[in-house]
Amino acid sequence: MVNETRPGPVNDLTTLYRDTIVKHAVNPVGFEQEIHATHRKEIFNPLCGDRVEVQLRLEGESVEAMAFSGEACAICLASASLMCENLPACSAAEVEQMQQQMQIAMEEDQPTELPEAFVPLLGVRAYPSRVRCALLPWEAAVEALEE
Amino acid sequence: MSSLAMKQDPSNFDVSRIRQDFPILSREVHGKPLVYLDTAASAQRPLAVIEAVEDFYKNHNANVHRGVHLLSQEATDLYEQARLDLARYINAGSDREIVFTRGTTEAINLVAQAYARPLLKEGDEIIVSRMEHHSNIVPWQLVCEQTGATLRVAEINERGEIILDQLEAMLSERVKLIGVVAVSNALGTINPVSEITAMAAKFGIPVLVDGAQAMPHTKVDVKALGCDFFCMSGHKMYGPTGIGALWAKKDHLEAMPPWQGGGEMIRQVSFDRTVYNDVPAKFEAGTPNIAGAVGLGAAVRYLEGVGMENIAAWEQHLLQVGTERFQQIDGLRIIGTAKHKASVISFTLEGVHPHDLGTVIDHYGIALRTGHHCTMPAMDFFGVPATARASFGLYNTPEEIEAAAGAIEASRKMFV
Repeated sequence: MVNETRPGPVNDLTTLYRDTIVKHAVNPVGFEQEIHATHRKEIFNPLCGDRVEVQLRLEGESVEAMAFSGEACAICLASASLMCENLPACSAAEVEQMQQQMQIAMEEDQPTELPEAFVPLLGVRAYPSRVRCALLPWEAAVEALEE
Repeated sequence: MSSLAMKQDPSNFDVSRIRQDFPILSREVHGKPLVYLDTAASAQRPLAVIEAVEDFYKNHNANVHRGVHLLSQEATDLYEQARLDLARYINAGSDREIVFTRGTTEAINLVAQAYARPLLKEGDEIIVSRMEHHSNIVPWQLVCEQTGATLRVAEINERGEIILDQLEAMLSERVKLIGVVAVSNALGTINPVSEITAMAAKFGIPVLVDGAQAMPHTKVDVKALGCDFFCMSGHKMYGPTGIGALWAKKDHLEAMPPWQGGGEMIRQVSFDRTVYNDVPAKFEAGTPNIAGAVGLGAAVRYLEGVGMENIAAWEQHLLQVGTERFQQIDGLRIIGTAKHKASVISFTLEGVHPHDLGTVIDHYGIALRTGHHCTMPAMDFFGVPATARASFGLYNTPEEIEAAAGAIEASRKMFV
């Protein structure tokens, strides 16, 4: 982690802004990508005004592609980006299950069976006011699938 | 209200002495000295306020206007003294024109429901500005839904100032009230309230002023402003949370029906007929926030002691230092550049979301607000979902501004 070499208080921040998170926030996977979506949902965070629209292309029960757009913070962007990178090939039911896992891991600080790829997001557990930022795209994905 | 700002020399302001009045300023955050730049969200309390509340609970606590015993009399005297203090502070005609509320939001809702609702009908209009806080938008939307009246918007320019000619052109006999913020919490704009009330007077339109942010920054004189209603919050002016007030012209208060029913607001109750109490008690149903009012009175006396002209001059100095320093930061865009501004700097930072900025600089001990500041229509106007906002109070220093600027620059390096 490059940030850990920085002096001063920034060191503490590497729990939240890990390299993976910053990398995904700066160059998010699936951002404004055209995927001929079959499902989409726009969701707002009333606390900060952030907006995220998640799109999915479902073929049968399987998520074939995911993309997103909107204006959001680094945590929300990274969360959406990791989702777009790792969820395709999952079934709709698996997406829902993972969203629940993610919520439990973040809000209840429980041990989790989350895939390794999502572990960097768990840094938000130390920042209760930022948990919502990380969960926002997941909620949008699940609500898109429910519609 | 802005003309007061430059009358005093800020170099005479002894900020280190002022800081000793605020015990919280000596604490650390993440191992760094606290730099509190979120006074517009909620100001810190001086010892005078903390001790007044403590003294009330330790020595005088009882219900007001009820018992014949000594404590009840003392509590009533302290509560009513706070009303007198506030009336003097804003140059009200009488303390009977001050209704204690939970804050500005409740004061505006009171006017919307007890003043506007009974008189509004279809075809009538209410005007508010684009820069209003949600608390001066949503109560009017509700009352318009209830009555069939229409809510219209006075637009702002790219500096964040109300376009007065456009507002004037919107006025007619159909307009039943104008709601306007004296000092914008999100942009810092100091609005020309007296000019607006003069325009409105030509059509006999009453004006409600959201004074939440004006109270801590400038001397408020409701008579000079020429408004009909003025709403304020204790915690924005160094007093307690959960207490605020509505000032209204006595004629309005007497003509308005009660808003909430209960104890205190009545003179006589029977199942045949209930007689309401006189103003302001008519609008203060239930046991009020007595300790809050006592603390608010102490805040008023504290501000009077320091002197509003001295505070305004110091804060204008901070605004100038802050604006110049922040403009040197790469990628920083100030949102709200009105000619007359209070000590509030809203900004965006290219490549860094305000939320991330807020979290990162918190680790440097710096507290500032990030988000839409409950002013989504104003954010939409500037094409941003959110901003970061540094707001300066009488206890802030140029050194703190420098620390904040350094932390903002360091934050940008993390993401860009």
